[in-house]
Amino acid sequence: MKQNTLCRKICSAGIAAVFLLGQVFPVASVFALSIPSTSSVIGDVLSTFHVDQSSVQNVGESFNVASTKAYSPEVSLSFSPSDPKEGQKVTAKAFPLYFSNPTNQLYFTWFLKRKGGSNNPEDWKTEAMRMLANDGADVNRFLPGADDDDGYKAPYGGGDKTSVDNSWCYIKDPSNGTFYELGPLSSSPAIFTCGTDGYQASCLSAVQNIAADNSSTAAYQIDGPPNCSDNGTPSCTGTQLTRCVNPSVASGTFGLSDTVQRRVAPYTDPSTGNPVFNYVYDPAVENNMTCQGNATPPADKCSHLFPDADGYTTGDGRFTAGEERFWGTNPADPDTAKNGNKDEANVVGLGRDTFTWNYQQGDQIGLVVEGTSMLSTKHDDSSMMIMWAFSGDGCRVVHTGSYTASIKGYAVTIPTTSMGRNDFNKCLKDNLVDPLGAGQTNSKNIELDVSATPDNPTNDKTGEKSGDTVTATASITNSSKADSEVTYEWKVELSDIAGMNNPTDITGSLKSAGLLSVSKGNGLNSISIPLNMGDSILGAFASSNPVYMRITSTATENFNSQGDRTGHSDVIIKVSNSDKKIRSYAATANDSGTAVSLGHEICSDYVTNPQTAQDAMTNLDRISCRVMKNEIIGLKIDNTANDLKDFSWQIDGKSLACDTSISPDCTDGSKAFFAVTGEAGTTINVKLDAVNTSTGKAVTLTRMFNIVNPDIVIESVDKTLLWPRYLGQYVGLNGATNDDYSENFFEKASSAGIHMKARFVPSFAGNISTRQWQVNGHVEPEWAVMEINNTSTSGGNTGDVANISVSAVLAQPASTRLALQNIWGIDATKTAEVTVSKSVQVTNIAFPTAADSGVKKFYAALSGYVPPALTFAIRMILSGGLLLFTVGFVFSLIPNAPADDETRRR
Amino acid sequence: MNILPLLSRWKKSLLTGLFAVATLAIYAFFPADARLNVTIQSVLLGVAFFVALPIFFVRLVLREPLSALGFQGSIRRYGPVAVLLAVVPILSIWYVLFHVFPVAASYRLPAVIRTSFPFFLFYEVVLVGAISFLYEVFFRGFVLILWLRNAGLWAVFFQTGLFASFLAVSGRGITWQDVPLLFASLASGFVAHYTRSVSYSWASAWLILFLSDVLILVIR
Repeated sequence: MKQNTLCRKICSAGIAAVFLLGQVFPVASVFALSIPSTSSVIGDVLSTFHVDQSSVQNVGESFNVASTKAYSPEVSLSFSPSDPKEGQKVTAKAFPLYFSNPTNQLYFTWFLKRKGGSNNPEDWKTEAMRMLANDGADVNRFLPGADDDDGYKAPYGGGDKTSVDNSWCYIKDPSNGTFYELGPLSSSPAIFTCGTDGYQASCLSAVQNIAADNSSTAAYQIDGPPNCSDNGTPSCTGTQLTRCVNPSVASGTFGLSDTVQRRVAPYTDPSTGNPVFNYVYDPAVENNMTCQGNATPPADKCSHLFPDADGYTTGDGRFTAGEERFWGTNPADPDTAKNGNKDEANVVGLGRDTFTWNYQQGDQIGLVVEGTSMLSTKHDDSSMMIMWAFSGDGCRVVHTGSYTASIKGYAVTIPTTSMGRNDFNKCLKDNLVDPLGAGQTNSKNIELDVSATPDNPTNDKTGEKSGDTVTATASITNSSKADSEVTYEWKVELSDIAGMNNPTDITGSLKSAGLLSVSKGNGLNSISIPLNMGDSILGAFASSNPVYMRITSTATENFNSQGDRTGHSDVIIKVSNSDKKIRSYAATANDSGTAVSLGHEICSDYVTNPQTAQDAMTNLDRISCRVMKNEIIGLKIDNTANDLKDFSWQIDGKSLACDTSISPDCTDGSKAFFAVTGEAGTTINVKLDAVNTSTGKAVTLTRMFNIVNPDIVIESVDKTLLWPRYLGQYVGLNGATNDDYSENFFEKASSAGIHMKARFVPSFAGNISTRQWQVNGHVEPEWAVMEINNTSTSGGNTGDVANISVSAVLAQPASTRLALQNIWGIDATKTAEVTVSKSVQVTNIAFPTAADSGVKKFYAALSGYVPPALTFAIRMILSGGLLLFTVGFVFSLIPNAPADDETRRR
Repeated sequence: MNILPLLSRWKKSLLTGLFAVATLAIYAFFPADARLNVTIQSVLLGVAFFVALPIFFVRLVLREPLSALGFQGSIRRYGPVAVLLAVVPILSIWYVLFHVFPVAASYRLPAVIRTSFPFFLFYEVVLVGAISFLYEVFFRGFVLILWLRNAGLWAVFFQTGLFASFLAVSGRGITWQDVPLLFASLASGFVAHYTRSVSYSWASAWLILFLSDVLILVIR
């Protein structure tokens, strides 16, 4: 019982003590007193300076591989022409990069592989460099000569370098980015020695740690590390250890089953005599040991890749007669190629960055450029890496090794390769470039661009053919052919949404309707489509407004016999397909010139079957309305059904406002007015945006106006009596033959008078004109409006000429000029009258009658071929002869007076 | 009344006159070809109608020698004197007219002969000489010497009137430009009447025309 009580007291005291300690030394304080770790300290430091650890890691990771990312020398080729024909001269131009030498001091070793030619890369180099050195000179005309001092000694790394012992040549393995120094491989096995005979230096892998067992059946005797010659330190890769192993002595046995590939032997520490580790000995990796420290650098580090003449060395400074013969250079001319280089310098390709040859089918060209890179070596000198740039895939490095050199007191391992000339030659086939291949064009496709004008065309489906004409033009940016040798094929599609979902191909329909003449042809880089598409062409989109037209062009050029190059592109045009049109009117102004209103409609005439150029121009007015400067034009869109709302007029991209202060007609926005203020030749584009009240879709309509200088044309009223002179025929753009008539010279029947009329361009200019006619200089009053009917000229002789002229003064009414000044701010002095005039000649000709047919017509036609001088002479002789004959005949009829007879007899 | 003897007696004069008038009529109304140069046509017609036709008429119809047309020397051997006697008064009259009437303003000479002496020589010697020769052969030789051989001094005035009529018809009026031609016609008519030679009449006509031009050029 006492024990329990005592125990209870002790426990209570303990708990109280712990509680008190807990109050004085809280748990957190106890932990804060612990020693901080290195990582936590670094983390705190980075956090203090707001450095993200992952960023530091990223930099470190990049730093680790930075040496493999260095920019090594490169070279690219371009060819001109890019599509050479058989036998044509082709020039390859080299663009070397990342060399420290100027281009004219680099060695350009070109090689040319002919189809069906030699497979020896040395021959490829020889053929190309012979062309460069010889430059097409006629070898047979060379005269034998003494040494012409055309040798050139090529230092390693470029013509501006000096051959010294510390020239280090490198090649970069494109697969791993490692730079390998050229030279013999490291001679590691030869410089390791073990203290006991029968032992050899080996690298051992500590892959197992097992207890020693002297009963093992295949254990090898292992001793300590081997010695390394030149006071170096032997080294193995990774965690392997350098040890001396006696592979011929197997002492004892080992109870494990893997005794075939892995021979395990105990290693006895010499200091304690106790086995400490067990290693795996693999004879296959024993040569991986290297000697670090004062290793001797390899000799014969660099070489050139120049082609050599048989028995000679190119670039050695001696260009002998034998080499002259081999390379086809002139023995008496140190610069056969006449480019400023000695012959041997041309053979080594000094500065020869262009190569021209006659292309043959299947030719492939390649290039190796030798020079000094911008990369420094690790050697303790001023050397930079001497490297080669290849025109193709580069060169895969083989026969690699390394050696360790003591540089600045540190053991530096330098990877090496023992690649020789043959190894490099094997690379050359991977660096051949086909002049016709994708290598120089970068793309098999034609880069095509299609554009179309105008931006917002309008389709006319009413049959009046007043729709805009869309012109689509395709242009190629990388064509190697003339445009006439490129075949273009066009396709036109329609859709009711801009995304062109489920479009309808209307190319055939357009051609059938005569709206598209041809859709495919050589040089057909542009098409024009009059947007006069009726419901038959529009099909399902007949009631859609707007419709979207996609015009696609596919261009194909016959690149060579190996295939075609193609390209395609398209453009989508928003086409207004409303049967509504912007109508134009000649505006009239009130007397005070403060407001305008719609007058008579203009540019609305339509000739169903145009026969003359004037008819065609009249119809064209519906598309591009001809107007004069200082006219006021009214615009109107039919909205009697109130199917449009929210009108927005624009003229040449600027808002065209119209309110009741300008015109009482400007109430609902369906009308607008503008003053023609530009100069002749200027085009005015009017655009109307509105919203269809039933569909809610936007409706866009356009109208074009063309400012022209006013003009008068004099025409015959009755072309059966007075007609324009026939000039001949011309072939129109559609291939049709048309008659051509003069506008200045007319002909009439001699008996007919002169009944002619004036026609104004634009036609409504006549409404503001005051005209004066003259016939042969005499003022002639108008017989009717715009017409004269002069009868005094009838009955004249054939060949008589009458001069007809009309002079017109075009003056805007005073109210219009006031309106131009009040509303549009055009000063009245700038709206003065304009005078235009026109003169024609009318010649009397023999009017053919019914009698002029048959035989007479034949004689008339025949006389047309007789020279006029001959017909004149015949008429003159016949007249004189007839007179002479008649008088002589009469004279002979009348008897002589007797006196006369007597006189004659006497 | 039997007209045949009368015709027989006067047939040469009648038919020669008929031939002369017909020739002039045909010449005046001969249709020109618009495709040929008018001057060349005029010269060719002149050669054919004023020279060739009269010669053919004399030789083929009348069967007379060319001397009947005046192709001969002066019969009285004072041809040069006659020329001087004809030219000097005419030029004097022309000179007076020049100062009385605005002749200079109406009389036109080709601009090129005013500026180039070689062209002046060519114009006066070749063109004026040739044209005056045509007129001399027809009006003085054929009309005056052959046709009006028996008309006496009246023949001079008649042929001048005929010539003036011809100018008026063919040239559509007579201007100051034609006055030297009329003067030359009258003067050379006198020379032809007295010498019966076309050569002297041609010389007098050419001299009058040439000196008239010179006078114009000098006075201007």
